[in-house]
Amino acid sequence: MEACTSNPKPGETLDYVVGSELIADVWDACCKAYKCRDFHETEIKKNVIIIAFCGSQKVTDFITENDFDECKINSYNQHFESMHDGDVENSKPALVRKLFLDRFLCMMQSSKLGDKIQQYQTGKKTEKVTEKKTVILAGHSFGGAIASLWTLWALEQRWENSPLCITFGCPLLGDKIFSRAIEREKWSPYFCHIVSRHDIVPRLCFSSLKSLPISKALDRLLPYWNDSMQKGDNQQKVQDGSHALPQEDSLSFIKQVIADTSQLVTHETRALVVGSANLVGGAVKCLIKRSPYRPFGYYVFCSSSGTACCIENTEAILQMLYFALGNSRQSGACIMEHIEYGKTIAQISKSSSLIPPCWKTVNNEIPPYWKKNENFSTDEVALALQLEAMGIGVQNVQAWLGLKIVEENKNKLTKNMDQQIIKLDEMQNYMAELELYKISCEKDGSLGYYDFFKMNWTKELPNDLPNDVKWINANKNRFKLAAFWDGICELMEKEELPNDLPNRVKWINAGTEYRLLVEPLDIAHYYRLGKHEDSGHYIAHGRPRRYKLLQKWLEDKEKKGEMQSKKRIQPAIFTQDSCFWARVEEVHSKTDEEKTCFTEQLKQKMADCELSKDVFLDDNTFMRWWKSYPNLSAQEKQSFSYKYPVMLLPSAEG
Amino acid sequence: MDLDWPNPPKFSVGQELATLIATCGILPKAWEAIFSFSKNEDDSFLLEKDEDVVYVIFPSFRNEDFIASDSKYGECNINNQKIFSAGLKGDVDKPALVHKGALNRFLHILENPDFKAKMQELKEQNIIFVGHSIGGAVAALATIWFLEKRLRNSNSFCITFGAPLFGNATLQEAIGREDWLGRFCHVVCKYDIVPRMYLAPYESIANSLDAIVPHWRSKMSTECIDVSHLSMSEACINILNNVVKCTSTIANNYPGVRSPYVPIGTYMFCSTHGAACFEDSEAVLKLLHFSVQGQEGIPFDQIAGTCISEHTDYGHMLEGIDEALLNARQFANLVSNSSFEIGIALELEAIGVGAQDNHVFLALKKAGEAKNEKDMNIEKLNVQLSTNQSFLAQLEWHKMNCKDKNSCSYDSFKQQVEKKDFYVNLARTKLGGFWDEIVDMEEKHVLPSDFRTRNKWINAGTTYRRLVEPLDIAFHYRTDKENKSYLSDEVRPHRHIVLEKWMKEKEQTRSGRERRGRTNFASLTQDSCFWAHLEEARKALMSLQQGKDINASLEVCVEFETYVKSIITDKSISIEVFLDQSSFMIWWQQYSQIQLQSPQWRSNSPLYDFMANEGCKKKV
Repeated sequence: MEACTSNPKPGETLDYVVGSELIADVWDACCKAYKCRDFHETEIKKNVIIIAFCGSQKVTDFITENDFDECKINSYNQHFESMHDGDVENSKPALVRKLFLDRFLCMMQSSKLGDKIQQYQTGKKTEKVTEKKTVILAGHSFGGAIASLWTLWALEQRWENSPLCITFGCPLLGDKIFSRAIEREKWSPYFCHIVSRHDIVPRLCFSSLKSLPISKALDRLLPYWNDSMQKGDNQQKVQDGSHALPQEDSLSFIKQVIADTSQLVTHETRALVVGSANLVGGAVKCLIKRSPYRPFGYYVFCSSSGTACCIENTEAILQMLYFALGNSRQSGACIMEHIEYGKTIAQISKSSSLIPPCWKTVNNEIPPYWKKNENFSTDEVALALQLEAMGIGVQNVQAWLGLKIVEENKNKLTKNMDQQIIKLDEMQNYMAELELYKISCEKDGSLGYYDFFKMNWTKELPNDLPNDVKWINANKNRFKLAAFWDGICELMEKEELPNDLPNRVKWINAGTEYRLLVEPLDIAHYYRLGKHEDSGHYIAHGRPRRYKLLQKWLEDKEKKGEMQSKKRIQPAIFTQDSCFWARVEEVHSKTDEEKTCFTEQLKQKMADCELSKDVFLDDNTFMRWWKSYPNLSAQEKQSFSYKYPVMLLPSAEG
Repeated sequence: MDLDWPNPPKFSVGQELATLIATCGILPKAWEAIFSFSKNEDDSFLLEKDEDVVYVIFPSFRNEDFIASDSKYGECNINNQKIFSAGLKGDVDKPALVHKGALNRFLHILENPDFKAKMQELKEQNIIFVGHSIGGAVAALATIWFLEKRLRNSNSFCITFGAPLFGNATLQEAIGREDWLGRFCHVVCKYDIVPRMYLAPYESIANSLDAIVPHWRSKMSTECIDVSHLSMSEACINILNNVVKCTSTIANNYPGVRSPYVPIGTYMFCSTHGAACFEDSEAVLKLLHFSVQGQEGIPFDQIAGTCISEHTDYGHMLEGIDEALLNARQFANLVSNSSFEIGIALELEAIGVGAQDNHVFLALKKAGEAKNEKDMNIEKLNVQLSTNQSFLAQLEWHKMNCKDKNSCSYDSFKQQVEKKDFYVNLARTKLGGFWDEIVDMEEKHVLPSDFRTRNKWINAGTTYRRLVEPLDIAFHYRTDKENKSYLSDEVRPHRHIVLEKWMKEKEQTRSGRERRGRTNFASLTQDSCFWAHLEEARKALMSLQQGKDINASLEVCVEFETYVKSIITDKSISIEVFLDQSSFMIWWQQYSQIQLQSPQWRSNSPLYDFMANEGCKKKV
C-alpha cells in the first residue's frame, strides 16, 4: 500500500546473507576486527563489503553513574532524529546505552567511516569507488552494538540504499521507545541479531550494573572473552568456562541474570494480558528499578544442535530470551557460547533449517502430541515448532503460554486495525456531508461555514434547508468524526494499534483532511459558547488532543522528506492552517505589535496560496476585523484583497 | 463495532505476578527487617530506608493482640475512633468491620506522636508497609489510613506475611471502590494456620492459641520460652480441626453462620513447588480451605505441626521460592485446550493444590470469567457513551436555540411550544435508558469495582444529569395528575439520585484540593433539581394568591428565595434562568408584587436587591 522502505526487500537480503555461506565470512571479519583498534574492512565477492567492529571492552567501562548506564539518544548529537516516541507535546527521546553512544560519537569524529559508508551507498564517484556496493556492518558482542548505531545513522540519512547490520551475541542497546521507533520507521529488517541459545551477554542488560554478582563476574569474564577472541584460533581457546570464573561466582551470576530477566519478562507478559490496570503489578512497578532495554530488529536464535528460528516481534524476542535461558542451569554454556559463534554457524549451515519469520507454512516435524490433538490452530502449532527448534520443547507450557500471549496481542492489533479501516471508510460519508455543508454555506456569498456554524447567520438561504436543520446535521457529523478520531488517539496511546500507523500515508492524509475541514467547526463551537472567557483561548487551552496529534503526524512525515507538498499555484480548498479561525478570534485581544505580526503572516500565507476562498467572504468574522483594522491604509486593504484573484469570484457569481 | 460478547478470558497470569513479586527483591528485604525487628520488644514500629523505598515495619505479635473476646469473631467497627474516613462503609451504611486486636494495636501506634511526625516526613516517597502475623493486619490498616490521606505524589504498598484475615466484605467493597485492592499483597505459606484461623469463632481457638503463641514468640525472638511439646501438639491438632470445620463450611457453601472476614487484596500462596497470586476473594477463601487438605499419605498431626511451624518460617520459604518459580513445569498432558485453563492449572500446580481439585479450579475459572465480563461491559459502555454524545449535543443545541428565543429549554420543553420538542423528548428517553442501564449494572456488580469513582464516568454522569434532569422534571410536571412533588419519594428517577450520590462521594475525596470559586455564572445550573424547587414554590405561590394555607405557603416561598440567593452567591446558577420568558422570572414578578405589600420586605428580602438592580441582566 505504502512504500517507504528504500532498499527494496531488506528481508530477502537478510535471508541471502544468513542463509548462505556469507555468514561465515561475516563471522571471520568480526574475529579479525578484534585485532584492530576500531574496525576491520574487507571486500568479498560481488561488491559485498563487510565492515566489522572491534568488540573488546575494558572492565573500567562498566563503572557507571546509573544502574543501567542509559542516556538520551540526542545528548551531544543530532544524528538520530527519528528516535522519539512521537508524542504531541514534549515528545521523549529514546534511551540508549551511554557506553555505546559515546564510542560511536568518538568514532564519528575521529574516523572517516561516515564518508566511506556514504560513498559505498550512494555510489558517489571518487578516485577509487565508482559503484554502489552492498555494505554489511557487523560486530561481535559490544562491536555489534556499535555496528547497530552506525547502521541506524546510515538509515537516518535516508539514502536510497542502506547497509545491513549483522551482530553476534550483541548486548541490548536501546529502550522501548527506541525499538518502537525502529518498528515505526520499518527499519527492523535491516538489523539481524544472531544469538546463541545460552549466550549470557544479550541478557546482561536486564541486570543492574551495580549488583554485586554481576560486577564481580564481569571483572573476570570480560578479560577472558577479550583474550579468547583476540587469540582467535577457535580450536585452542576452548577451555572450560570455569577457568575464567569460580563455580560459585558463575552460579550466582547466572542466577542473578535469570532472576532479573524473568522479572522483566513476566512483567511485560502480565502487562499484555491485564493492561496497565492498577493491580499489584502496577504498584510494585514504581518501587523497583527495572532495566529500560528492549530488543529491536530481527533476532535469529540458534541452538547448539544446529536448528534456528527467526523472530521479529519485540515481545516474542523477550519471551525467547527468557525461556531459552531460564530453563537451563548450564553456567559453562552461558559463558562459552558467547565466543563460540563460529561453531554455531557451522552447525546451522550444515543442517540449514532456519525457520523463517513467516514460518506458518512450515509443515514438518510437529511433535507427536501436538499432531494428535487436532484442535490446535496453525498458530499454536507454529509456536510449538519454534520451541522445538530452540530445544526448549513444547512440554514447557509456560514458554508456550508466554509466546501465545504475545501472538494473541499481535492478532489483536491486526484486528483493531481492520476494524478501524472499515470505520474510516464509514467516516468518509460524514466528511462528504460536511463538505457539502461548507459549499452550501458559501452559496450565500457573504458568510463562510465557519460563521454559519457559529450561528451568525442573518437570513435563511433560498432553495435550501433551514439553517438550523443544517446546523444540527453538521453538528452530528462533527461529533461522530470527533468520536472516531478520539478513539484512534486513545488506541494509539494504549498501544493497541500498529506502531507505524502515524507513518502510513493513507492515515496521514485522512487525518489532515479531517483536521482542515472540521477543526474550524470546533473553533466556531468553542467561541460560540464563549468558552474562551472561561478557560482561555482555543489554541493554548481548548485545542483537542486529536488535532495536535494529527498535525504532528503530518509534520513528522514532512520532516523526513517522504511527503513533500508541491508549491501551490491555486488557492487551497481548505485553509492549510487549521487554527486560522482561532487566530482570527484571538487577534482582537492582542497588542498592536502582535497584530502587525499577524497581518505579515497573512500576507505570506496569501502569497503561498494557503488561504481558502471562504476566508475572504465579505461579511465573515475575519473580513469584518480586517476592514476595521485601523493600522492599514485603505489602499493597503484594497491591495490585499485585490492581489487575490479569487476575491473576485463571489461577486462575479453574484 | 462488532465485538463478540461474551468472550471467555484468554489467559490467567497469577503465576507471572508471583514471579514478578518474588524476583524483585522486596520480599526478602521485608522479611529480614521484620525478623530482626521482632527481637526487639518495646518498639511499636520501625522505619527503614533502602535506596528510595521506605519500609514501615510493624512487630509480629503480642499475646494480647490475638485476644478479642467481646464479639464472636473478634470484629468491631473500624470507625469507632473516627480515625478513618466515613467513606469506608457499604451502600446502605453498613459499617466496615475489622479485627479488634489489630485495630487497637494500630490506634495505639497512632497515639505515638513520633509515628505521625515520621509519616508526615514521608509524604513524597515510596512506602511499603510490612508486617507479619497480627502485625500484617496492622500494616494493612496503616496502609488504608495512609491511602485515605490521598497524597498525590506518594506511592504506598502493603506486604504482609502470614497475616490473619482482618476485614469484612464492606471494607473490601469500600477499598475496591477506590481501586486500592492492588495495593495489598499478602504472602501466605500454604499450610500457615493464621491466615485462616479467624474464619473460626474466636472461642473455639482461644485455648489452643494460648499454648501456641508463646511458641511462635520464641521462634521469632531470642527470648527463650518453655513450651511443653505434648500440650503443643494437642493444641495444634485442636486448632486445625476447629478451623478446618469452619473453612469447609465456607468453601463448600454449606449454609450456616459465617465469619464476617473476607480476604482483601492479592494473596500470594507459596509452597515448595512455587507460588502463585490470586486476586479474587471467593477463590482465595476456597483456597484457604483446600490448600491444607494436602496430599494423601501425610498424617493429620504432621500437617497440624506444619500449620503451626510454617507461620514463623517465611524466611526459609522465601529462599527456595525464586528457584522453584524459575523451574518451568513440564506438563506431560495438557489439561485442556484453552490457554486460560492451562494457566489456572499451572497456578494450582505451583501451590501444590493439584489441578484435579475441581472446586478451586472452577472458582478460579468463574472469577476470571466474571472479571473478564466486567472489562467487556465497560468496553461496551464506552462505545455506547460516545454514540450517546450526539443525543446530548442535540439537547445542548435545543438549549441554545431556546436561549436565542429568550426562554429556557425547561419552559420550552414543558410547554411544548415547538415541533422539535418531540425530538428532544426522544433524546431524553434514549439517554435515560442508557443511564438506567449503567446504574443497574453497577448495582448488580457487573462493572469493575472502581467504576463509580472513575473521573470519566462521574463527569459524564454529572453533565448528563445537569442537562437532562430539568427536562425530566418538566416532563413530570407536565404529565403529573396527582399533584405530587418531584422531590417526594419514588418520583425522582433512581438514576439521578444515584448519579448525584456518586458525584458527592467523589467530591468528598477531592476535598484535599481547593476548588476554584466561580467568577462567572455556570453554563448549567449545578443543582439539577432547581426547577423542581421552583415548581414547588410556584404551587405555594398559587395557593398564596388563592389565600389557602397562607403561613405554610409563605414559608415555602421564603425558603425558596433564600435557596436561590445562596446559589446566586456561589454562582452555581445558570444565567438562562433570568431570561425574560423564564418561569422563574414570572414567579418572581408575581411573588414580589404580593410581598411588596408588606413594607419591610424590601429591605429584608435576600433576593430583592439583586433582582431589582437587574444584576442578572447585566450578566445576560
